[in-house]
Amino acid sequence: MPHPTSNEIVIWDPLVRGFHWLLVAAFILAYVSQGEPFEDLQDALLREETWQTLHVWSGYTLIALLLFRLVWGFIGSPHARFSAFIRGPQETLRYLKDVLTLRASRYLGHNPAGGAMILLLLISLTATVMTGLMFYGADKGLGPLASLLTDSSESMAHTLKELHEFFANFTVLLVVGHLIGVIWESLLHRENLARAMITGRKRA
Amino acid sequence: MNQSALLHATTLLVTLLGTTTVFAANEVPATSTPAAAMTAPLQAPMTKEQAIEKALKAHPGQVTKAYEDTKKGKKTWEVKIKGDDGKKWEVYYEIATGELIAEEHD
Repeated sequence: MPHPTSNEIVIWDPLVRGFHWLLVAAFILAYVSQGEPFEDLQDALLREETWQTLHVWSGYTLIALLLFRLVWGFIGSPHARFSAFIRGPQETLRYLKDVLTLRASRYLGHNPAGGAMILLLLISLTATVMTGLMFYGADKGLGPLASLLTDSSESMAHTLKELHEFFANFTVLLVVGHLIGVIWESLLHRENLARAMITGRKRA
Repeated sequence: MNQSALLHATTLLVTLLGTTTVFAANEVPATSTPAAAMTAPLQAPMTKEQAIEKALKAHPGQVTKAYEDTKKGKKTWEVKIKGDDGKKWEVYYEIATGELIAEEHD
């Protein structure tokens, strides 16, 4: 681990960092374990039953992480709170314009565009896990919603599956946008934002 | 962040993970065995090979996958077929009875 320099301060608390990387791992596992582009990889490595179990458990892990982040957004450390990084649409759009013209101000915590992206990611991930949980109950008759949804029609189950896949793929698109934003801002302000999410420290 | 806040948050995370573990423990079929099935004569469960044979008779083509799955609370064999009709079929047979539970295509 790199030694902190004297002009660095802690921005991201250990729980925010732990949440971030666990979320990354759980989402990748959930996506790879059932994603159609990875069918050949799935067949080569594990039995289908094992992949399904991994998918369900990574989904449950995502639910736990999202619940945690919801609570931490209200009672967490200063930069982790929703009030610290969720701005209105006008401020966010103004910041995006500044980003594109290379005039964007540097923020210690999330900038307005980053904050909007985090909010979108949390909403899209919540929609993904909720539709997944509903599909699990409606199609397989398993999970906490089984007793409510197991008598659903085939078309209902099919719709839930389509929605689940849509939100999962939409989340991937958002992740791509998030990564582009991180790289862009890192270059613009000459700081490694990915490293900051590992060490928690940023230049003061 | 002070130590008590960290302890508080860690406890919260452990509690949430514990909650979802209980959540995940609910992995049993929601439907119960009907009384008629309980009094029916015992029969050998369907094998995967039998399921594949039956599915191919219904939908000729190439089997891409066959594995144990759960459908509507019943333990089934799911057989995936790349059909000669150009459709991708998913056929489900209940393991205990060999009954067709569902067949779907994209």
